[in-house]
Amino acid sequence: MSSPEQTSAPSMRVKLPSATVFRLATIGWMIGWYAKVDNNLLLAAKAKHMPVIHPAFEGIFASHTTLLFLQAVPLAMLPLVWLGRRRLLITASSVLILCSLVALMHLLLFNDATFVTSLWAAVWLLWLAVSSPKDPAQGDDPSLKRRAPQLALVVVSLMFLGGFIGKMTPEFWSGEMFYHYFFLDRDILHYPWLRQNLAPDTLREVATWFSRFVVLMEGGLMVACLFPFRKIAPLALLCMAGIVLGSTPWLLSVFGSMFGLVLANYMWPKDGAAS
Amino acid sequence: MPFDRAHVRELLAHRADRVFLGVIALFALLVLSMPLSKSVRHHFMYAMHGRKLNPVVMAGVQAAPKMYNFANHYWFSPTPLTVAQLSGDPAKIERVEFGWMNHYPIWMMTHYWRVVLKDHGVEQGYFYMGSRWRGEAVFTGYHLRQDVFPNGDERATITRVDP
Repeated sequence: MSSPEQTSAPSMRVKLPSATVFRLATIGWMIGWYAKVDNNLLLAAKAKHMPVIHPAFEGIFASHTTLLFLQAVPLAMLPLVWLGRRRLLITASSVLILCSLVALMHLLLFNDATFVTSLWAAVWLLWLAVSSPKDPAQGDDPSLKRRAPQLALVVVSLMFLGGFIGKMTPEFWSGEMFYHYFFLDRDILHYPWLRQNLAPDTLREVATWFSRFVVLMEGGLMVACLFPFRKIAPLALLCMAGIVLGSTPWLLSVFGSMFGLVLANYMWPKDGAAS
Repeated sequence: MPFDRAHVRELLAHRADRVFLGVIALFALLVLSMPLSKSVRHHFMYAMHGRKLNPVVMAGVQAAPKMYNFANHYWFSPTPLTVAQLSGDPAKIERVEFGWMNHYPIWMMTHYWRVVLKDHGVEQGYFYMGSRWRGEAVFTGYHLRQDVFPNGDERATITRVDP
């Protein structure tokens, strides 16, 4: 991982640290993107049987075929990512950005935060691709191992900034929103158990404190980028895992790309080591 | 504490980093302006409700980070509802399905609604969305008609009918 390296005759695969980090972050991106693939394919099948005519969604943004493309195209980028050459990485990350933007505006996937986090993780991937050396023999810029993790944290902070600002309404601080949305309406994880075993007043109280915890955690994570990566990243990972396990495992689709972004940046050689 | 000036200088020394941070700052400002600007806030709500917006505006709002923003509700009703009804106690409206929502507003209209339509024994009805933020509310309404063709195919036609 730490040798300045290039391509060799038997292998066309670039072995630079930047290429390795790119690959790992892409794996996280893919986990998030495909976490609900079965559901998305079902949506496409239903839309084929029952087309939906909506005034705000036309052409490719309403087509079930687009949805099928969105499931296939990111996978087709994997060989490019595996090879790791700068131009291929720029192409792959640009395609991932494009897929995320189309998904964000598609009738059948509309308003899923999965594609917001995917978009911004892909923007970071594009930045990394652009910042990687044109000639692998040159090796990575020595400062890249410091800049890349910090900019990954900037992306994480931006995501939580959005969540925090959107919750600056009393329904979140009082817990009313999460009480109804999760604690009363969801039949997954611990919610049925909580409904069966807690008195109604206690359940409401738990929802309030859960909601306040989420708001405060998002408020904390939105400034994560101001702190050194290796000090704050474990806390960020713990918080994101807590949100997924504490609300719904479906949120893995939202946080997959963020987990990938943070975990991949642990792969840079530490200061002092050759890069 | 936050990283030092040398670290900031290092980040700002590279053009790609400056562009990256500039794009992030742009969207951070957009999000931060939401509590201050009614127009920005309402455009976030319009996008959430699937209203037709300028494609550039829609792309910008959709790309802006958000997770469980606003307090969002939905109403299913076989008959049209008024703003007064939507602002009041949903339990007082007859034959209405009411709930809290966050994701997939369009999916709610099409697939989940089919179940509700069948429960009510009707082929068309109304779907309303409401987003609240610190006392203010934006409502959007749609009429949905479901056609079933002789070959078994179905089609859902959604038209905007605000309360």
